[in-house]
Amino acid sequence: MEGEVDMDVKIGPDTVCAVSQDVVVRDIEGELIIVPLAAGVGDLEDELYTLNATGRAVWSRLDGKKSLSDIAGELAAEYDSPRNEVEADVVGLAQELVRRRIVVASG
Amino acid sequence: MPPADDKPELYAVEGGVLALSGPALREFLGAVLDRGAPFRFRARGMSMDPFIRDGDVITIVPRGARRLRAGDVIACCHPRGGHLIVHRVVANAQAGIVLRGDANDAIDGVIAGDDVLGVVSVVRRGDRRVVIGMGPERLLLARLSRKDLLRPLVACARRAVHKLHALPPNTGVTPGGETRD
Repeated sequence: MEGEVDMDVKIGPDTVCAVSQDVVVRDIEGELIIVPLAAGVGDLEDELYTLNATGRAVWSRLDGKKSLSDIAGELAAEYDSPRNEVEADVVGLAQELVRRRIVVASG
Repeated sequence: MPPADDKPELYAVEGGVLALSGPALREFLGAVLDRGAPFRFRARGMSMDPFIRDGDVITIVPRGARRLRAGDVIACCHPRGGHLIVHRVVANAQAGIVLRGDANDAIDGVIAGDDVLGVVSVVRRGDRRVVIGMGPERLLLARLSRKDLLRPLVACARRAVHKLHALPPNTGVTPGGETRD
């Protein structure tokens, strides 16, 4: 079904991710607040999500075109960090975001 | 990555404890309703007391094609202050609708129907759903509010309830006001 999250997609370096259509995201006073539309309701009483600065650097690159490996490469070069470590962190965050249906994965 | 040794992390925030400022709340409300989805949040303030109390959780649905009527409780930006309000429609005017908080001593002003963000559909207080003030009686509440009678009536009802609760047990007076021998 179109728009349905495929929880069976294995998240790895070659996975391409994009922000789900079923979330509302706003930058509130420097903090990224993510509200999932759980069961079609925007619910400030349920859990909301936020990311640390490093998470935001990944989030801003989840454009549905770049693979997680591409993103890790960009970040490793930008911040002069070991590529393999950055890639592991990026994949780990993507797995968490997909699990919570904040991000959708393909391929 | 910024900072160099910081892992990217996702944090879950307990929504109920997140105190968003008025503009932020309005931003989220507008964004969610624009998607055609309902929006649920904790109301703050006393302007709709006793029908919506501070801390009640309210659900706002998109207005859609619905025609607003006197008695409906809607969310919009205050016609003068611009802040988010959840108040009752007390009358229809040529230029829009007239709003007033049930506990307020004056109307907010007239707002254009297009400026309505959404309509309150459910009010919950703890585990209970609050039904008084949201059903057919809302038309009567709007009329009373328009005539400046709602606040005095609510105050009168409160005094009566307090008196009733203050009665010591076994005084011989039943809640219905009849005296027992």
